[in-house]
Amino acid sequence: MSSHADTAVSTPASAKGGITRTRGILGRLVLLAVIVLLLGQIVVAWFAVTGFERALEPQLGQKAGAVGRAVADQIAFVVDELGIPSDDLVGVDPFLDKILESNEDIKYLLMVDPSSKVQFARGLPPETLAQVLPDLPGTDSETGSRSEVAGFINSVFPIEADGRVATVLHVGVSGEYVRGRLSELLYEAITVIVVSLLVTLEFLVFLVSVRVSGPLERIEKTLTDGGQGRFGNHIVMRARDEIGDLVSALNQALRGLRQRYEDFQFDVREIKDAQIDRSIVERIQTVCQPVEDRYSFSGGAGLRPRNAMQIRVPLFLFMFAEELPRSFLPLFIAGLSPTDSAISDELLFGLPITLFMLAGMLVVPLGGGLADRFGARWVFLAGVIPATIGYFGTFLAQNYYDLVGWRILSGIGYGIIFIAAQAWVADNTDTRNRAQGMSVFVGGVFAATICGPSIGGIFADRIGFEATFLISAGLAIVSGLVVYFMLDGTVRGRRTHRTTFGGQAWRTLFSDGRLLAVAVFAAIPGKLILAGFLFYLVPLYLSDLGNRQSVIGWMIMLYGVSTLAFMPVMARFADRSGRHVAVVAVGGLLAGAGCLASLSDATFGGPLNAVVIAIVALGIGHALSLTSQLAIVQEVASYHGGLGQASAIGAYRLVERSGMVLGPVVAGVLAANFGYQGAIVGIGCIVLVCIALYMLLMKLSRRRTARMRKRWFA
Amino acid sequence: MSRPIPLVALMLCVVLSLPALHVRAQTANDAQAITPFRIFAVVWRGETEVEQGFRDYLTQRGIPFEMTVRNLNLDRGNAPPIVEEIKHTRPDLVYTWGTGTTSSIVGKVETDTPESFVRDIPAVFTLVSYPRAANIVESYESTGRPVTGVAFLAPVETQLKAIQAYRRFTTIAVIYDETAGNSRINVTDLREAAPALDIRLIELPVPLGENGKPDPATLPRLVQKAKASGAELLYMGPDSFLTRHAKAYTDAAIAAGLPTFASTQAPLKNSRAMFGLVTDYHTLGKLTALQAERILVEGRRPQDLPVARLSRYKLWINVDVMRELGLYPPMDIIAIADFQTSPGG
Repeated sequence: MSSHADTAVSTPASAKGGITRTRGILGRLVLLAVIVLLLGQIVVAWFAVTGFERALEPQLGQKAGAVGRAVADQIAFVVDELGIPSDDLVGVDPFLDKILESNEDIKYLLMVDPSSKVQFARGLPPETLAQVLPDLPGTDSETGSRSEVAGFINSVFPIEADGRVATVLHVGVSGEYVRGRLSELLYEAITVIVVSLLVTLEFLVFLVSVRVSGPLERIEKTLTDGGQGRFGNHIVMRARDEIGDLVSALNQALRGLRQRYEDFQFDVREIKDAQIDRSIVERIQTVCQPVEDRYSFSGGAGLRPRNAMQIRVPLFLFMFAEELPRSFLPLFIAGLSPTDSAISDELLFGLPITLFMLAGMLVVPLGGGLADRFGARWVFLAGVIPATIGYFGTFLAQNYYDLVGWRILSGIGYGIIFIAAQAWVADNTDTRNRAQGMSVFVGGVFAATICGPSIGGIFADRIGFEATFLISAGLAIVSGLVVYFMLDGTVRGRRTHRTTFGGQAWRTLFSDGRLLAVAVFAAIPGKLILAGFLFYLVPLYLSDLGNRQSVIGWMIMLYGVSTLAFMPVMARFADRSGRHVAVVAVGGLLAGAGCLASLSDATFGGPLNAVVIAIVALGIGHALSLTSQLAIVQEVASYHGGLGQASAIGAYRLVERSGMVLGPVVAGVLAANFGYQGAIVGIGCIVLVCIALYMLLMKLSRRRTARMRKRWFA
Repeated sequence: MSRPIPLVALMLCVVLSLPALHVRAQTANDAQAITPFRIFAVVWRGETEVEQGFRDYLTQRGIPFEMTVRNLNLDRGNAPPIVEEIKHTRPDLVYTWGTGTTSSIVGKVETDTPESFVRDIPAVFTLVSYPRAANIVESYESTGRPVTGVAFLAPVETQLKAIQAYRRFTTIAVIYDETAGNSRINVTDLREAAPALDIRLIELPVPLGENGKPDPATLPRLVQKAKASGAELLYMGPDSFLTRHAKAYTDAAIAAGLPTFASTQAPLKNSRAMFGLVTDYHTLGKLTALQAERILVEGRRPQDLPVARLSRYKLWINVDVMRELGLYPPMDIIAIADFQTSPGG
């Protein structure tokens, strides 16, 4: 798990030539951190789990003890004080059944007389009873003493009448209950380990790239320039750490060199001016000219450490905040939904998610325009404000309409931050490493997809839905603080981020069958299944099946894990083979087919397993198709010229996002008519049909494209 | 900084003085009714726990009252002078215990000699088995005159259900004094309720002796007869004759191996009935006092008050009899029953 995250994290770090060499340090540092952390966490988790086991078992025993004592007292009253022989007791079975009913963890109640004859036995099927009986402790056992009997924890209560044991009550608690709670705890421990590892890695890579590799790359550039005789540069850096000291020493040295050169030139000028003989002046000039030619001491730039990585931690933190409620958002909405609405409940539960996505989508042009004027940093900070207010409002929301309003506000913040982060990457990369810079972006989002839902689920179980939004608000604020204090504010946007959604972009998109096929029949269904199935149906369906929030969070985490795990491998494979069109198709088919697992739960051992299969298939499917989709769009759009390409990609992104908007609505309509399970299958079918159309369109337009390509390059 | 302290102190004072204010308000209320209500009680066989419950309730509610108690001493003939005394003293409320006392003090709904009864003073009765059948009230909803009270028997259906919760008895014999109104009403009710519960009822009226009264000497023979006709249980209703001879009757039952169920408290206390569903006398007294409160304090007219009924009854089980007969109750009944031993045993 962590090694994949490592791959994803370190790939962008190698983007710049200069950083490749620091990869050794970073790689070793990360490896060491992972090993140390993992060992520590495993030890702590082991202590926690075994401690829990040790604490829970006696607790269960105590419960069995308390119930057993109460029952034994009642029976003792009957057999001893009322003098009713234990064999002649009437109505014992319903009496014991009632106790079993109200104490779920107690699995059986037995009354055995001193001659080992079973008088009354409730809770066990005959075959299990036969296994239990031979191991039961005898009449001489101490009251309340416990022992393990055929997988049960058995407590003994001998009951006396007239000073002799009349009957023995046995109370059995299932060991399974303990084991069930333990495995839940184990899941949670693993979640916490994975998440804390990812968070550590994020921060480690962030710190190293901002404070070490970024400046080192600049130092390297300065030294390389120096080696070529250019001493005019200096490095602009604020940090007062070891690297900062090195940088200022270097700047100092450069300043000293420049000063000395100026002194030297001053001396030369003085000597030249003092000569009367022109030939001597010329000779001095001849001697000094090569120095001027070979060395330059002015005209250099203030070099700023630039690194696309810098945006990753704030982006990760913000996406973490947004992903926290992922596992329970539809349930939370359901809890606030009006019961007397004209539209169906299912649609109502999905609507706030849809409106959130829509708000995020609509602010994209605005965010791009703002990034042009004020720079990515300020736009990011501007996005944090509505997002945080939105989370806080959601925490306080009293009814459905409040909630919708606050979610829309959060969606606006989300959209702005999304654009700001993209703009940051664009500002800090050039065409050579743009793609890898973008993977910084994607990596941050996916790391949050893994961390957010799982931790959010654990929070929801413990502090409730509302309070989790408060944590989201806190995380969003922290992301803003990181941007404010750690990111270089003087860098202004240099290029235009405003995606022109003018007629040309759309013409490009719709005039090319291949672009259209990718956007409409691959990208839209890809996002539709993500929002409709994963964000909307999974929480509602799994909760309906009686799962805890932490389990639901875990399931949603599986998507991020499987995407992140397969993305690097798949992307490399797709790039090498060049068969992007086919890879997109395979990915889409996989994602769609996974949902069909819910058609027959039994084949896969229960509805939960079917959902797990669908989620993992979706993750792998997206790992396959996401990068290849973009590759196709870039490739096809490149035929249409530079500006056409940029705007076509913008238009493609916008079209793609409409899938997110549609997802919950489509899933809601399906769920209202066919139930959650039917809706999952339905969404799978929609995706499969879309992919079929995609393949058809691709095939049809291939010939046309081939003709077009010929014409283009003729 | 120091400003909040006086405020807090003030609030504290207010909070602390609340109980005192409350007490004051209470006393003011009491002052209005400073003259205690005069209650005139007539009982049948001396004071019982019912009167205790009655007094306890009024005291708990802070209702001031003075209670005069007169005893009929099991004889209706003692009633006329007491009626005269009531007419003379004109108390605020008359209290009567039992069917006999009630009908001899306030009379029946219709009477040819209204002058020999108290007819114009509000009255509450208690421990009357069948107030309507005994013609003390017109209906349970309204008595039609300034009299109301409390019915004390558990409804017959409830009694039969309690019997069946103990054990699925299907054949029940009722031996009864057919000269007593209460008993006849009781048997009629049993006859109506039994089929719905799949109970076969054997009715055995006690033969009358030469004096025209039921003959106690016939009881053992009747028990034998019940046994022979397949009875599994003897039912004992609110029957004064049987209650008087309960000891001999229940002994005969045990000898025949038959359990006895009693619908009143006396046979359980004084004889060897095995179990019974009875009213707790103290609770009954409290319920009677509630009726009195409605009349005295709330000023409501007795004819507007329906006859009250307890909703919960006590299941009494005589452990000794239960053991002797080997008829053990199921666990869920044990959990709610009151157990006691035979008198003197």
